[in-house]
Order: sequence, then structure tokens, then C-alpha cells
Amino acid sequence: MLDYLGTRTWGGNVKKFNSSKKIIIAIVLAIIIILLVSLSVMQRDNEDSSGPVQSVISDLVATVDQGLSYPVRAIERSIQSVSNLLGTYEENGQLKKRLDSYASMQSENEILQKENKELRDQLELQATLTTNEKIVANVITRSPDDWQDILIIDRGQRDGIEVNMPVMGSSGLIGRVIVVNDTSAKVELLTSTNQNSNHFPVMITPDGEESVFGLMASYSEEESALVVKQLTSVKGVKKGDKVLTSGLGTSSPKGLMVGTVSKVEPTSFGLEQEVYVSPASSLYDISVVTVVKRVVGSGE
Amino acid sequence: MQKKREVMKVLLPLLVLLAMLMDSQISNILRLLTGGELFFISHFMLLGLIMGSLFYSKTYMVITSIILGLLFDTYYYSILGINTVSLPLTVLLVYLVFDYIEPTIPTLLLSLVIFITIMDGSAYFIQVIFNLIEGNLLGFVSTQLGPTLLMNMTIFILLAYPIKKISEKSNRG
Repeated sequence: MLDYLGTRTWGGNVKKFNSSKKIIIAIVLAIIIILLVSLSVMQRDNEDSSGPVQSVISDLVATVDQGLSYPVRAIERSIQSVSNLLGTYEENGQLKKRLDSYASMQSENEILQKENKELRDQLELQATLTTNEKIVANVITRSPDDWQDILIIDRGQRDGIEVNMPVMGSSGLIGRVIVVNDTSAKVELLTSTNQNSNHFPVMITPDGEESVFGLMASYSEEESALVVKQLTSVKGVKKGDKVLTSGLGTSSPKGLMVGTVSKVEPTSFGLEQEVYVSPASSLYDISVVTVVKRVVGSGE
Repeated sequence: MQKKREVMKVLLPLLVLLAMLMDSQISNILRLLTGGELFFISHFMLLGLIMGSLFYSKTYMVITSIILGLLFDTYYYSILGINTVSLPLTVLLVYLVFDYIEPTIPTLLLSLVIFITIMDGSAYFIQVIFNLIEGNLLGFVSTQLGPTLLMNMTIFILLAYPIKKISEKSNRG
């Protein structure tokens, strides 16, 4: 009887010990997770390149993934070629019309370029905000979910890519470089809802008015448009005006195409106006990107 | 038979890693086709982990899933701790469920719905909690979780025969 009672109390103690042990383990795990996430986010947002271990792992996986992406790209291309074929006739007609003015435009362009160079030589101006270098890269893959919007490209530090460089798609700005490894890099798209994302300085030049400067603030899912805020004014800005980067920040050069104005609206507070910009380049159909390096003052 | 199982034990993490990379490639083609409206995300990686957990010990599979989660987070996000948490969590749930339920095709199909919901849902909530993304629960359920579940159930039904053959060999049948 005594023996039985003794066993029972001992058994009860074990149970108590187990449950408190589980709570402690759960708390320790939670702390580890919180530390892991916060530290890696801090490191990612740090301007320097990522840590050596992460960099090597990313590069290795990227190499494997690159092999996998070749057949996938082939399938993608064949899908695209069918849709291209369907639109060819119509496109041909439109292009023919444009071609007439192309020759004269090209000669005019050459003259202007030459004149520009001569004038720059006179001013002893070697590089302006528009001067840039371009690095073309293939897109290996994209993060599989819909939230982070990160592309992985096959060029890295070795090819001269640095953090915060703007990235262009087929016809306009699509994002910026956030992480650089040795032979691969990560690009965050403009559609990302990451609150630390870069705010590109942009400008809008309406016909016959002064340029308007602003800051790209976010991406609106409902309008599928970029939202430009903190504008100097919205005088004369109307639908269809071109939006370019202004080069006023430290990382992006002047004159990269962003998109066209889709509408002008007062903000929810009603004090300011904000401009919705529909992006020039598709933010889904991306297989090749151009990373742009600003030549003037990029080190600041 | 035993030897084959030992070889597979080493190969499984590599196969699941390849499945992980294929998953995002497949998802990206489908994203192109839907024009970024709906997100059909294939989960061959999860399927591999579920099949693995029918054969191997809990400790082995949990450690494998933690390492895979770390690789996933490093490669795609550079933020550690999203899939590093959600993958082992799902694997633990797989063991919990199949302790009570016999793994047959219908039970596997139904539990796959739960596993995908837990895996994607926990990854989503971790990102919302740490303020890495702007949360939109309705958007997440309607544009991502729903299509993903539909697609993976279809894949599972298409692959039902090989999955049945494999699961019959496990210790748990």
C-alpha cells in the first residue's frame, strides 16, 4: 500500500516536471526564432554584402537552380512564341508606320549626341546624372509565393553588382538589388509590400510645364499601379504623362523609364495629392533584367 | 529491401531539395499564365517530406526539414526563420496525424489539405507578425491558398497510383 502510494506521488512529480520542461523548451525555441528572424532581417537590410555562409549557400543553390531553369525557360519560350505568332500581323502593321520616321530620327539622334558630347567637352563635364553602366543578367527564379516578390539573377559581386542598384525589365524600372552574393544576387520588385523597400525619387514632366518631383511610396494592388507621394506640385500633370527617375537620390541615375501616369488623386487625408503610375514593364513576365549602375556619385 | 531504404535515406533530402527548386519554377510558369492574378504553388517538396515521414524516424525527418527550411530561406528571402519554422512544424503534424490514422490514398488526400494550409498559413503569419509584409488575409486565402489547394489535390490524384505503391511498403500500413 505504502509502496503504491509512493509510486503514485513519484509519477505525479514526473508529470509536473515534464510539463514545465515543455514550456521552457517552447520559450527557448520562440526566443531562438525571434532572434534568427530579427538578426537576418537586420543583416539583409544592411548595405554591405551578405554573410559568407549565406552567400556560399545561395550561390551553390543558384547554380543547381540554373541547370533546372534551362528546360523551364525553353517551355516558357515556346508558350510565348505561340502568343507572339498570333500578334505578329497586327504588330507588323504598327511597326511599318513607325519605321518611316525611324531613319530621320536616328540621324537626328546622332547629331544631337555629337553636339551633346562637344558641349560637355567644352564644359569639362565628364559624367552627368544620366550617365550609367548597364549589366545584363538572366533571371534564374522567383520566390514561389506572392508576398516577398524577390527575383534571383545570375550575376553578382564578380560582375560589379552592388546593393541598391536599380533594375530594369524589358521597358522600365522593376526593382532594386537587395542582396549581392559572389555570383548571384537578389532583386526586390517594386510590387513588394516590404516596408523597408527603396523609395525611388521620380519626376514627371508635363507638356509645357516645369518638372514635378516626387517619391515612389508603394504599390497599390487594386489599381495595379505604383503610388508616387510627396510631390512638389501636381500642376499640369495628367493621364499619360511619362514618369522617369530623377536621379536626386544617391543610387539611381536620371532618366530611367518608370511608367505613365494613370490618375491623380488626393490622399486619404485630403491635404496632399498622389499620382498613380502604371509601370512600363511587366512585373510578372520577366526573364532578362538590366542592372543599372550610376556613374556619378554612386559611392556616396 | 533494407539496403534500398538506407540508400533512399541519404537521397531523400537531395530529392526534396530538387523538388523545392522545381516547385518555384513550376509556380513561376503558372504565374505567367494567369498574369499574376492567381498563385498556383506546387508542393512537391511537402509531398516528398510526407512520403519520407512514412518511412523514417521523427528525429531524422525533423532535422532534414529544418535544414531544408534554412536553405529555402537563405536562397529565396535571405531572411532565416520563415520556412525554418513552418516546415518542421508541418512534419511534426504529419507524425501526429499518422499516429492515429492509417495512411491510405483518401486519408492522405484529406490530410494534405491540412498540411498545406498549416505550412503556407504559418509561413504567412510569421511574415505578418515580424512586419515583413503587409498582411491581407482575405487576399492570401482567395488568391493563393485556394488555387494552391486545388492544384495540389489534382496533382495528388494524378499521382495516386505511385503514391499508393510507395505507402503500402511503409511500416505504418
